[in-house]
Amino acid sequence: MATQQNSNPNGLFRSRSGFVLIAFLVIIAFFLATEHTAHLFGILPWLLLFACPFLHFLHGRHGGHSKDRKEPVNHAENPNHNPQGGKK
Amino acid sequence: MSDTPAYGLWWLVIINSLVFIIFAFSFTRPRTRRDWRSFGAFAAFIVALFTEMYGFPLTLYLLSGWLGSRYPQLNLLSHNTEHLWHTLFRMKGDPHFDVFHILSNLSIFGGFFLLASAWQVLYKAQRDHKLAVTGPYAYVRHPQYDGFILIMLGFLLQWPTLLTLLMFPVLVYRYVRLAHQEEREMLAEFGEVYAHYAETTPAFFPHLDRAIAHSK
Repeated sequence: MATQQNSNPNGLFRSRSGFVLIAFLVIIAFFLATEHTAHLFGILPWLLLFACPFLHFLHGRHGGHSKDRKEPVNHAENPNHNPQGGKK
Repeated sequence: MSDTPAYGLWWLVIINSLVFIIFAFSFTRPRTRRDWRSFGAFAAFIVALFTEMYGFPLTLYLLSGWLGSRYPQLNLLSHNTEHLWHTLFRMKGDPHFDVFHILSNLSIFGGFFLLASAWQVLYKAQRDHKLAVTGPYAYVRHPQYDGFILIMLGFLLQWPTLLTLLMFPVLVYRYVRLAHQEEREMLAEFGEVYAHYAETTPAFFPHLDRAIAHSK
């Protein structure tokens, strides 16, 4: 009940999710900065686009330790499912 | 940025829309119907926005008569013109460095950061079947909706279009309703614990004094 979970937002930057977040933000910064002149960068915009699904899968597979990601979450039926402590 | 005509760039419409939508998808992982509705609304906003930004400047066409009479020297089909606040307020210099644009970028990046950090907390909480109350959830009850709204607001600040300006209040209203619906479900599921959390934590607007005190 009283155990603090490791959900400090500062921890985000040290996790794989943090890497994915930063990579996405860099890509977004590129498109926001170049706007319509992105075509001057040749193949780069496409490479950045193709990096996105890659980042997504990287994030999905490891980012959240997703062992039960595919399971539908039904809290009501199983409120005490996880032995690990959370804040509340 | 050059002032050459900058529309009809459909591949840029597609790339930009996909990048923003994949990012949001990756950090929200819609699962329930409600998740899909909030995600879909965001995606619609993004597509409408980039279609006007690089594809077809509907707003400029519709406003061309009025803009032409009020700002006769204006090149209506230039990219910079549709940084519309800059144009309407007759601001000098490059629109990419005016106050709207800077605030806009802060708002967009802030929104994405909020989405991502909220997702991390929410994901762990859902996996553990607990209530998410740490990270951004310590300041507001609906940080992901806040994140979506911040991103859309950011885009309105740098690139207002008639369609996205009309969509924005509708989407905000929709998010507020979805948030209320979510609260009822959380209350049914977590009872007292959620009631206490909701009592002490604001829904959308953080108590700034408390947020500052926390961060010290």
